[in-house]
Amino acid sequence: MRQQDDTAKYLPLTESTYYTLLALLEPLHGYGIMQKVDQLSEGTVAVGPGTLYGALSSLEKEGLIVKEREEERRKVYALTDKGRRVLAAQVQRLEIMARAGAAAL
Amino acid sequence: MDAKDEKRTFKWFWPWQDERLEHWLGQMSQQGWHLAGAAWPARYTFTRGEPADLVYRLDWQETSRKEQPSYRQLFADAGWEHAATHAGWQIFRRPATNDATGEIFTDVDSKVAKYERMIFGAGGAFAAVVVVMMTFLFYDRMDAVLGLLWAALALAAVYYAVVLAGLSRRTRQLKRL
Repeated sequence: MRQQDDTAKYLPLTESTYYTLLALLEPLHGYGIMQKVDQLSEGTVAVGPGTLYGALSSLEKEGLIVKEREEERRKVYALTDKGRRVLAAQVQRLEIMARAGAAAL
Repeated sequence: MDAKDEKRTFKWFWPWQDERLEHWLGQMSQQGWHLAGAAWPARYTFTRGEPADLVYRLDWQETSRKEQPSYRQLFADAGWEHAATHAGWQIFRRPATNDATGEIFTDVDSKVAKYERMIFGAGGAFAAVVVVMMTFLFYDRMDAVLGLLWAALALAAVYYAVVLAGLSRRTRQLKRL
């Protein structure tokens, strides 16, 4: 199935962006995201603060995440509906990738 | 502070030579000279301390004053101390480690994005300088002061053109990886 909606222009996501969105299914601040990404990726992906700050800025600008509140200089972000749609579309692509790869090998 | 415990050094780095600057700052710390501040155009201030194995990393962010605290907090939480600001450079450091926490950028895309932010800034500056130079063409008189000003602008234009070329080359190198 080809993506026809507004999610197509964001795909494919980089690994860091993918895991960042995935981590934000529950609201988290920056360092919380780093820890969650480490856990979700089983240690295969580390997101440094420079990479994360850039990702959060552009994700917020594109309306994929939103700043929920600020706790002692730490911004807590949460996924928006649009962000959730982009994430779902990426998961679909990844499933196809994994299926094609597993079938071929 | 004793004058012997502080040292000022002029050392030129082009904007695309950030990795060279990072390396040099690390070497200075190994000798016990830790970065305390940086100023235009290429002046670095160091204070004497215990020699230490520190990793320096540079980000380019022209964040607003309001954004600075949360920006620095994110780095601090990840173990990075903010050492200095220099133009748009944000200089961070942390004790050397062997794992991935030794990097502030963990993928090529975000490294490229850093240079693209710089290209955007330098491109804007170049355009502004050229526009001002163009307005000079409509002046009838050209006296010494205006001539000098024009020469300074021309130099600035050349500087930004060189910077843009260097940054573009660096970006292409990264994208090939």
